[in-house]
Amino acid sequence: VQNNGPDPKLSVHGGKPTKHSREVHADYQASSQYLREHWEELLERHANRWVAIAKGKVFGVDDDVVALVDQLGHEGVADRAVVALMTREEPPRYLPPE
Amino acid sequence: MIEGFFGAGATPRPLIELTLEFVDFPNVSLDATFLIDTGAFRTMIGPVEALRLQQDLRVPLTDLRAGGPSMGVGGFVPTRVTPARMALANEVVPLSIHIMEPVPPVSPIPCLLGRDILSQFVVHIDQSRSRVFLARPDEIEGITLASGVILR
Repeated sequence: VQNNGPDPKLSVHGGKPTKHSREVHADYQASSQYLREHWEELLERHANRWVAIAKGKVFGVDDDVVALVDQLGHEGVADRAVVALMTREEPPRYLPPE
Repeated sequence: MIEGFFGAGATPRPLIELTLEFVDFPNVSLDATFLIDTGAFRTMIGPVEALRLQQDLRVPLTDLRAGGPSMGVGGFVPTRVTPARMALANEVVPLSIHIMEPVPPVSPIPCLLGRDILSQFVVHIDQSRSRVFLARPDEIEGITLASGVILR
């Protein structure tokens, strides 16, 4: 099974993925994996709060997701962060327009 | 073939991490986790990922073309639409990606991988073995099902 990362043919703008885009993807995957592996621990510590994981570790915790993502943007890591609400509730389901 | 996973949370849900590039925004890409949703007509970015995307777009999401409302139990949320490309199994798949506007209060609505993309793949979801993957039809040719049917 291959990596899902930027494909050499993903060339909307021509050329291969840059070192930057490979790093972003690797960071995102690391953060996603961190969230999966630490879900229960994070849920216990930060129930019903938003958690941002960046570069494979907890970047911030906030009740306001807009403020949290703004903070990610200011630090230049919004493109590689995983943001999740720590809850056991099913996420709301919305369907796209047809 | 692209491997996904079952997410943590209330009930395991089949998820897959994908990278999007945006045709009208040359330096912008978005890595995001999508819920495999055969009930969704098309692929859509949820409001939290829209907030992340907004940080890099440098233009308000509301400057993008309106894409019609997304309907849910809580009502509807407006969407925006823009041309994009998604890397999948050594293929680049063009699509018009719908983006939910992050209207407050922002909900943890997931990104959806809908039938516009799923219809091009064989979708394998096996919760008993924690196995999720998408494959091109030619990648599974020759596999024999329990019924004796050989996939061609």
